[in-house]
Order: sequence, then C-alpha cells, then structure tokens
Amino acid sequence: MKYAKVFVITSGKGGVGKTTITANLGASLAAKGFNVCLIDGDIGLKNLDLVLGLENRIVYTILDVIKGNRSVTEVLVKHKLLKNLSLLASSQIANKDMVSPEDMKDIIDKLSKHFHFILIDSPAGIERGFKNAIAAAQHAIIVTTPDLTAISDADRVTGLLENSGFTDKNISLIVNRLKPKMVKKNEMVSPEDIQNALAIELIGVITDSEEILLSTNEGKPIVLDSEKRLSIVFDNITERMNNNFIPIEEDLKKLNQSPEGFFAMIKKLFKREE
Amino acid sequence: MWPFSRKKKKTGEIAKERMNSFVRGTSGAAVIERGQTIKLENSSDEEINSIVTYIKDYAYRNLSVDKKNVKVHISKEGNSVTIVASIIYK
Repeated sequence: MKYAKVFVITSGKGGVGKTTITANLGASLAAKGFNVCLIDGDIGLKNLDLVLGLENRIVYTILDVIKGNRSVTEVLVKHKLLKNLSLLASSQIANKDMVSPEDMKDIIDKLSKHFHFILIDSPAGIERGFKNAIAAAQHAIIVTTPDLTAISDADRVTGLLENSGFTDKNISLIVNRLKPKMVKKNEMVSPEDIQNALAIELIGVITDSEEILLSTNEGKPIVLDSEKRLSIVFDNITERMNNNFIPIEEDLKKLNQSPEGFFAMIKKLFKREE
Repeated sequence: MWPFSRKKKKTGEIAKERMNSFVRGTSGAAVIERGQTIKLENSSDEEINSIVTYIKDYAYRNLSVDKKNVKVHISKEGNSVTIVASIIYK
C-alpha cells in the first residue's frame, strides 16, 4: 500500500463538532472501501471512542506506543461494523505534554504504510496538543460554526497553520451547525460569507440537526444509516477529500428536501405526546 | 409608535460586518489574499492606510506583537509607493 493521505481536523474553539465530523468522515471513507485510521489527538480529554461506540473496547492507548510497551498496530481498535476503520485511542489519564510532535510524526509514519487515509482529531486550543496534531498532517480541515467566536478562532488557527507551512492549497473549511432558515432571513452569516472572510476552500456545509445527537447517543456514525439526510453530506465531503468535484450547493439541496410526504407532515402536526 | 421609525438592521448583517472587521483577510478596506503580491499604481492615501492597518493587524494576530511596536514606513516616488514594516520584538 502507498503512503496514506493524512488530514487533521481542527478548529481552535472547542465544541464546534470536530470529533463528530472526524468520526463521520472516517466512517464514510471506510464505507467506500478505503482503509482508514482515526487518531484521537485529544490527549486527556478523549471522546472519539465514544462517538464511534468503541469506549468499552479500548485496552491500549497512544501512550503505550510512545512508552514502547506496544507497537502501533497492536493498539488499534477496529470498528464493530466497519472492519476497515481503526481507531488509535487516546488516554484519559495522560496529558498533552507526554506526547511530542516527533512522537506523532513517528506514529503516523508507521501507520501510513497500512492505510489509505489517516484522520487526526485535534484538541481545542492552540497549545501543545494542537501542535502535536498538525505535526505530521498533509492537509488541514478547519471546522467552524457560523458564530463569531468560532470564526475568529478559525481565523487564528488558519494563521498558525500558515506559519507551520500550510498554504491555502492544503487548508479547507467545513461550516457546521448552519441554520439555513436563519441565513435566508439574514439572521446568520452564510457559508459563503465565512469562506470569503477566511479565504480558504469550503469543502462542506453541515446543517444543525438532531440526527447528530441521536447518532452520538447510539455510538453509531450517522453515515452508517443511509436514511439519514446528513449522511449524503459527509459522503460528498469525502468525495471532495478525494479530489472529486461536487458542488457545495448539492449538500444544501439535499438537506432542504423534506423527507416526509404531505400526509406524514399533517400526521406529525396532530401527533400528541404520550 | 412612530410609523416611520428606522428599520432595524438584521443581525446577520451586523455579524457579517463584525466578522469582516476582525478577520485577517478582510481587515481594512482592501481584501488581500494570503501569499498574493499586490501592485499599487496611483494609489490613494486611503488604500495605503488600509495596507498599513492590515500589516499591523497581521503582526498583532500572527506574531503576537503589540500594534505600537509595528512601524510602517511609506515613501512615495512619483507613482510608486514603497512600504517597509519594522516589527519590534521585545
């Protein structure tokens, strides 16, 4: 196998959906037949195992690899439904200073021979954890929500990535938790406004949806349920990660289509809580 | 209520204006893309001032240097303008 494409999913601000997006992009790529490894870069505050429903299967973590107790391939945990999706878990008891950028480079170099894609879930902030996460990445995906605090942090992170050698050719943007109705009423900045302000390529727009919370509750990535409307959006983003052109408008078009028929809508209106 | 009261600005417009005021790529009047070299001919003072603001903002945001420690020197010769920025680290 050739060397993997290594992506880091980052944001600066916490709580914008990096972990959920990492899990779903990984699951989407795996469902397309690629060998995918997800790395939880959030040392000490791990969550990726929870979103993937693998929290009870973690025996060894990235710290065991760094300490030399286990080889990197021994500590990987395979997903229950997608056997070509693996997780390199983080440790709850460790802190970010126990891992260095050189450690990350070394780990990713070893993993690269076994996978088509490696996705690193970066922690919030711009400290050591962020530096570790970006150290070996070839491409950065910045996640932001349409609020000014997240956009400001995304801008700061873009600057830091550029200082670390990234360019507008290998930095992309995902706008998460968009509310199209608010954008239509001019009560929220649009993805195009954010893209123009940050001057980086937009590769995905994800609308605010209950489906995300429900999938996290079950520990099952949304892309594994083809009935979920958001799954097509993640599939489109992974196509773009593979350099296949799909217009961004396609994402919003799908999301604006009502999945319910007229009678289902009427039924819902009159439905009473039991 | 006075029937001709001024229409309230939509919050999305306010957010967009605020976003463009703090984001590095769009600070000031001119949008300068990263890595792009800009050539100015017959530039007005307003354009030059926006570039000075951009340089100071860039140093403040990316290099953590106080704006007062960024000295921008402008010299004009005919139609050409030379801008030199000195960034003072302490």
